[in-house]
Amino acid sequence: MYFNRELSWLKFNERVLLEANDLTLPILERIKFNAIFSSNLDEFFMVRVASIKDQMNIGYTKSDPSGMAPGPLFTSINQKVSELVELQNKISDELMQGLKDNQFNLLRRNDYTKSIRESLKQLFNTTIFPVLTPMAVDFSRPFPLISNKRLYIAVKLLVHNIERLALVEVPSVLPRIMSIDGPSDHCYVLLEDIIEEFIADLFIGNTILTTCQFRITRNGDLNVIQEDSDILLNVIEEAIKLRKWGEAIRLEISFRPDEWLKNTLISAFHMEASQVYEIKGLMDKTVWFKFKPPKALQHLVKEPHVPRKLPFMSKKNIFKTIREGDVFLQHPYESFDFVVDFIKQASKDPQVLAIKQTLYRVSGDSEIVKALADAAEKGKQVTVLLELMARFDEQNNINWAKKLEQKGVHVIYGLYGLKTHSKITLVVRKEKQRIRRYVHLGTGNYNDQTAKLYTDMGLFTCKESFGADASIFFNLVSGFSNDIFTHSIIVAPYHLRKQFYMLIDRETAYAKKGKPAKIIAKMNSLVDKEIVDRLYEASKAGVKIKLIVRGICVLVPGVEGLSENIEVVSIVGEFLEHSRIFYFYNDHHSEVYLSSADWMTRNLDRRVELLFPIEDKIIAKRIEKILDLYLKDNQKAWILLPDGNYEKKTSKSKDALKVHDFLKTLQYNDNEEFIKKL
Amino acid sequence: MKPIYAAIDIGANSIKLKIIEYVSHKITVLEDISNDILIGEDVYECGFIQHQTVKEILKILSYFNKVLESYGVEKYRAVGTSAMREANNSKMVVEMLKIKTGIDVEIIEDSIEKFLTYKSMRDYMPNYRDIRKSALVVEINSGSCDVSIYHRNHLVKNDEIKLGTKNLKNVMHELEERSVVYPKVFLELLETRTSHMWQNIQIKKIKHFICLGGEAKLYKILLFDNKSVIPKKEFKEIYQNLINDHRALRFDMESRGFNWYEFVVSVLIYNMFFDLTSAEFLLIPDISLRDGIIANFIERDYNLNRYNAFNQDILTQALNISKRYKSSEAHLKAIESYALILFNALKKHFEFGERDELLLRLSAILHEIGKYTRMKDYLVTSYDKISNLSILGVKEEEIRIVAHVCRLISSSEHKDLDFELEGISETNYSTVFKLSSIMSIADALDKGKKQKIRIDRVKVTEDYMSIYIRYKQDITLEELSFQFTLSNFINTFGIIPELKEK
Repeated sequence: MYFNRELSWLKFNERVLLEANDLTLPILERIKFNAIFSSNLDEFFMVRVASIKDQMNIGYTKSDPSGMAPGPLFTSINQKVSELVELQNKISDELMQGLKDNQFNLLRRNDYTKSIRESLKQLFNTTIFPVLTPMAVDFSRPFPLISNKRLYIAVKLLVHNIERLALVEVPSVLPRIMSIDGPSDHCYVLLEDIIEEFIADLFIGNTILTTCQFRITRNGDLNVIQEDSDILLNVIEEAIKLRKWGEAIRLEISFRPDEWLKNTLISAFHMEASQVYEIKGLMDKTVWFKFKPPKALQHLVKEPHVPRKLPFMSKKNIFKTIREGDVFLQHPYESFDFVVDFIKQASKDPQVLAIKQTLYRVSGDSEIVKALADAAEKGKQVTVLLELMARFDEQNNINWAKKLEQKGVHVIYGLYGLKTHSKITLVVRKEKQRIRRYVHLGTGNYNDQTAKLYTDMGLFTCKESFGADASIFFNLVSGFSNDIFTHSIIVAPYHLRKQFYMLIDRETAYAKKGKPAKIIAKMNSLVDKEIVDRLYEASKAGVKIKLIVRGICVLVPGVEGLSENIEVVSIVGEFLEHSRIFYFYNDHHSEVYLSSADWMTRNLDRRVELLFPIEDKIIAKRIEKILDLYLKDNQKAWILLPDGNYEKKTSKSKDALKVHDFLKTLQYNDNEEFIKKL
Repeated sequence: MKPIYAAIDIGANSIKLKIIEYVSHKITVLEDISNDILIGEDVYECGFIQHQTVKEILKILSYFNKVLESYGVEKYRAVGTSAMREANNSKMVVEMLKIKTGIDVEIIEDSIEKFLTYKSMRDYMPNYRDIRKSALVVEINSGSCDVSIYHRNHLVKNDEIKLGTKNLKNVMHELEERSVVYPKVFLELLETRTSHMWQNIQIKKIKHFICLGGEAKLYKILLFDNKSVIPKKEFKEIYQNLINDHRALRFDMESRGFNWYEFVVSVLIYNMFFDLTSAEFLLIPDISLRDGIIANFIERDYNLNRYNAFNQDILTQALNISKRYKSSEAHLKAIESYALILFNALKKHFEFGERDELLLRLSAILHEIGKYTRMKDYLVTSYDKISNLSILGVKEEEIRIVAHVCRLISSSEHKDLDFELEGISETNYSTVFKLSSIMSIADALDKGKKQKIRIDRVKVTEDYMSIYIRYKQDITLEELSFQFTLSNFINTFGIIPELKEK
């Protein structure tokens, strides 16, 4: 008995969208959730829906574990997305009103006054017109290639009394939200609206019958056959170029468009009507990610969260700090700067001989990458495992790979057919005539930007077994070793699945003996059928299982005789839940692990992932307390019901707890104090 | 001194790197990397390492080089073994590896490979001291089987038998076509090929049985839960299954991707030798050539006694050979002692190689083995016999040096610059002359084989080497012989030896 993973994901995105309804948030924060919903949906169509469409195209009819075959699933997805788009349209109306209420005047075409129109006309003529390229479609000019996720204006022309289609791309070189002098303060207009308003200037001599905005989402999966690392870089670069032209999966079009225009586009993209979504408000809402409000409107966004600097972080010698005991960090509450400083210090320290690091998603202006390049220039042995296939970050990573190689860094691209998703750094340091290895392991990427938005955990240690394992790991992923046997760290796809089986089954065995047994697991997604089956077995044996799953969960909780001992909650709030934590009661000898992996088949079988034990008892205790906090959240937590719906936990009493806010404001200096305060 | 050592082993099926840190007499493994590469397949199929494989080796060694740098390793030794030895283009490959990776690969002989591997037993076998007292070591490789006996703290015997898994699996396959009990038939073949060794093993009532070789390590993991100490009963269960009804075992082994015939060959060989001992357990230690190379570094840098103790194994093997040829032990000891005194005095003034002392001692021990078959020109016969010897831990060229040293003890070739020393590179000619000059004097001083002379001290000056001696009997014969050695010695060292009475 399993939920369908795609429909489960759509429910997650619905929870994201509903965050836009949170009236306690400033209006631009709510708008941001609306934008996240859209951005998530883009990716969902490009990858998941595209893959289902591929299955349908090749006539694949086998049902998935939830019992759905690709065809019916495709229909269900479209139905659900239609519902969600309708909900989003409604929310978008409310948000627009919310903007107005907050003196943020986003003027649409209907709002243009004569004087505004005049000033926009001037703007159009001087700045916009020169970068526009109208594309007519007729017998001699075939339908042009329309880029993935770009915004276009479709124009219905009357040419010699015949209706003709023309297209204009909204240029990405200009800002889409533009500030103008208007009747009141803080007036903004949209680039696409201006173009639509003056589009006749592009088709002089023809009659414009009507226009609408539209956007296409295409199949975005890179079908790269992994090549030798020497040419992998080029192969992926080529594949990225081709992605722009994948099969069209979704058409978003202005609300209530002209039927002729809509049908012409549907037919041009070889689509069905069910793949078309009419959008109210802004067409591509991700534009809000780039919008920076002026100082006068700063109250419309949340005050940026400033991660805490704990006393140990101000000590000069990070290596000494780690030698004194394992260091645990919880982001974004605790500063990621300590991780950056660790790499920086390693790059400058003359005693450091080598630095090895995995990089999955690198931020645009990464200090870590700069430090790695510096270290290489200083003659240190620097190895970076850069995952070129990090979805939608491929081009960014290719650019980094080239830059790092120029600086003398040994850049490697991981194992054939396996994405390297692990987050690990190894620093080899020569100390008083002996070698000591410092290791950082994390649940999140080495990305200083996302570290401010994602909840992640990290551990620094110089324990011998971790150091040896880190060396084994890097040799393995370099493709120069076959040794997969480690001491403390568990590596996927070699032993991670088995380790999870062992840990779950051990609780089951205890429960069967009548001993207390408990599992708490926190992850982004729970999809793997084998793991779910083992959890069902554990539940049947009496193991108390609490799962904190942000996104997809195919496990059906609370079913008598199957999963009545399993509870599933999902936290969707200010920060993106990203940490993977696994707790096992183990007959009074509890074990806590952190990981880069979810309980997804791809993580366990097709990626290089790490699971690492938290051996320091105080740190383990602190993580247990954090898990308790998550389970106590009653403001941003959703409970998964046996019917697949989610019900929001609520409490207006004194017990009201929002885990993100609680952790942001908790005052403590070290792990012990953290534990005491809870 | 940096206590970080590394060893690279370029084998037939893999290239391996081990880096260790040696602190407070404790070895900590920093890296242990193994990378599969079928060099052997190239060599056995076409006689040389193919271009694509060379490229792969380069890639791996470049990576290893980076790993070496990441630990600041300065002391390392990279060796090529069987496949590199056999490859026609190995010299070219070694040169290319040096140019492109900076790693100097030395192709080592089989006897050196084994000697180093055995050396690592000291560090990796907790009861090593006890093992040296009485142990049979059997190493099965693809082409041969190597049998060594440790007795009373010495490596007393080392023999190579042409019983390898790869060459015998075809025999096994043929036997299977003729008999369903083919393992039993194969046992007969084994007996005929090994029976000459049985008595020598049985008589020593050997207490420890050690299995080495890649196959042994695999079986240990697959069949014995990775245990290094396997009770005889457990091993015998596998053996009995194999002999009686092996269908389930065969299915199991083949489903794990193992060649059944190779498995049968190795189990039968191990079993046969196991039965010749009184051992209760079969030992499969986690030792390797890499460990041996590293052990060698540590001994040289930290424990010269231990280093010398291993050289003693080499001397014991030589001594056993000379005993077999009925050489006079007292005479050999006297000559060895004289030669060492002269060597130690000379080495303060003249350059000698690191292994020259060992080679000198081997010459002293082996120089008379020719006498057993032929008295006339026995040194020439000794030369022939020594040239064909294989001593664990001694390179082929070193054996040749010893042979030439012995041949030249009473020869005047030293002054003749136009001849060739067969099998020796020209850079080693001077070693031969130096050692044979010393040996000539040592031999002369016990010409009567009665150990009449005692050397009190040797003084080396710019022009003379004065040997201060004492004696109780008439030494006319020795003095005369001494006179005959002078010209060789003077030609070699440029100083005049003289006998002085105290």
